[in-house]
Amino acid sequence: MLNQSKYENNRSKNCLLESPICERLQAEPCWLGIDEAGRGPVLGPMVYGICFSPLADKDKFSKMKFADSKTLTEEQRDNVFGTMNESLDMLGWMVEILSPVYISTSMLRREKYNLNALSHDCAIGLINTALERGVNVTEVYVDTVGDPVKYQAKLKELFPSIDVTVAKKADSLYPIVSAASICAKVSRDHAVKNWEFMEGIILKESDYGSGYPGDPKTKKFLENSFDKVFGFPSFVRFSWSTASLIIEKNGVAVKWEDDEDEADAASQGNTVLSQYFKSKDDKGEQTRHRFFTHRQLNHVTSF
Amino acid sequence: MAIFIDTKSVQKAVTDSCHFVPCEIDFNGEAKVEDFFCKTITPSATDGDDMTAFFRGRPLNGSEITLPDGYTGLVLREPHKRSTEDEDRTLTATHKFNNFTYWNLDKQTTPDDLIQKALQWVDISSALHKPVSLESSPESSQGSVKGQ
Repeated sequence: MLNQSKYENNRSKNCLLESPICERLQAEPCWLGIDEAGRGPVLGPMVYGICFSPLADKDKFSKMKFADSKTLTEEQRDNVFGTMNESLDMLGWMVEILSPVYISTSMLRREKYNLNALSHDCAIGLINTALERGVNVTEVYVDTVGDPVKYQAKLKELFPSIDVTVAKKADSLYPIVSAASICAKVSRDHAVKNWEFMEGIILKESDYGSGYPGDPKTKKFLENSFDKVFGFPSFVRFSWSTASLIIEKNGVAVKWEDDEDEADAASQGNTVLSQYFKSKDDKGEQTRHRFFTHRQLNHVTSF
Repeated sequence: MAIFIDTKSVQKAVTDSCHFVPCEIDFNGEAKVEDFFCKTITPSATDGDDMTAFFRGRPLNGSEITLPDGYTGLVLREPHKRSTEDEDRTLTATHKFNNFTYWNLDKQTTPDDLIQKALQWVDISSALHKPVSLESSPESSQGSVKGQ
């Protein structure tokens, strides 16, 4: 069973969980697989998992019956994860839990940080952590939903001494990626299932469905937890259009100081040449000293 | 038409916390600020006394501001709406505060922030409007003005 109390202490923050690392993983050359769970859903954390094992045990590892985590039931995944933890003499794993708050606030910064960049950085961070722990990584296998060629080139540049393979559906091609995928999925399911709302929301049933917008259970949860001022509890990824469209439709209007940026950029395209020939509107109004205008200080004579 | 503030209500006003957020919220009324906002506030991992929080999924950086000596912040309400433009208005204080937290959108707070700079006026205005005694030397009347 996975103990995730470290994450459960603060569900707003990202959290790294890891297995003990045996000496063999440091001494012998290893392959390392990377996969993620919970990329698409509007709810809960996204989890990145890695698994690594000595190349010498490739055959033995492949016989451990790792299938792509999506083809297994939750119970089967838990069982396989249990077996993995009994085999720590031939493998190690790590998961990085990216909290929904981290995902929202990263994607909704002033300078947007997109999900792809965020995912890549997380995967790169995990490889680096494994290397820091002394794991002798010589081969890396990565599953991706994006363009594998570009991603592979990026990783090869960062890790020139490692043989990198990036592929779509790598989780069904390479058992080391299947194992990583199981770690990620077990952790993600666990986090969602045991979610406690810091906002004090208590729901009759903790079944949020798949987290995809078409799922009636997910829809119902989004309806029930909606607040017209704040939008949603921090369990929800505000940067998903599913969430932002509901807020736009049913929530109180909120205007941010950088909202104008896009409108400004759009109107700039419509500048007419004659505008440059207009005389400035100087009606001789008395302007205040810039000490006040810079500080946006105004006289208030009524409320 | 004049505006009055009911001074008796000021004494009775309850002290409360106050947040100055970098967005306009088109709503007036009670909201679950404690559950949905205050609980997101965490002391910043980086330097200083700064804090981070989030609102509608957007990252905020905040700092606490203590009001200058002699100032009190008030939340005012108008219990009776006037029926004509010419009528006097009376406002009552419901809450008061001596400090508040201001929040920037995804930007570390600095003394250069508008709200901090605006408060410089308090010191400058008192220096400008303070009566100057005849005995005071020229140096002291040109004494430096403190920032912030």
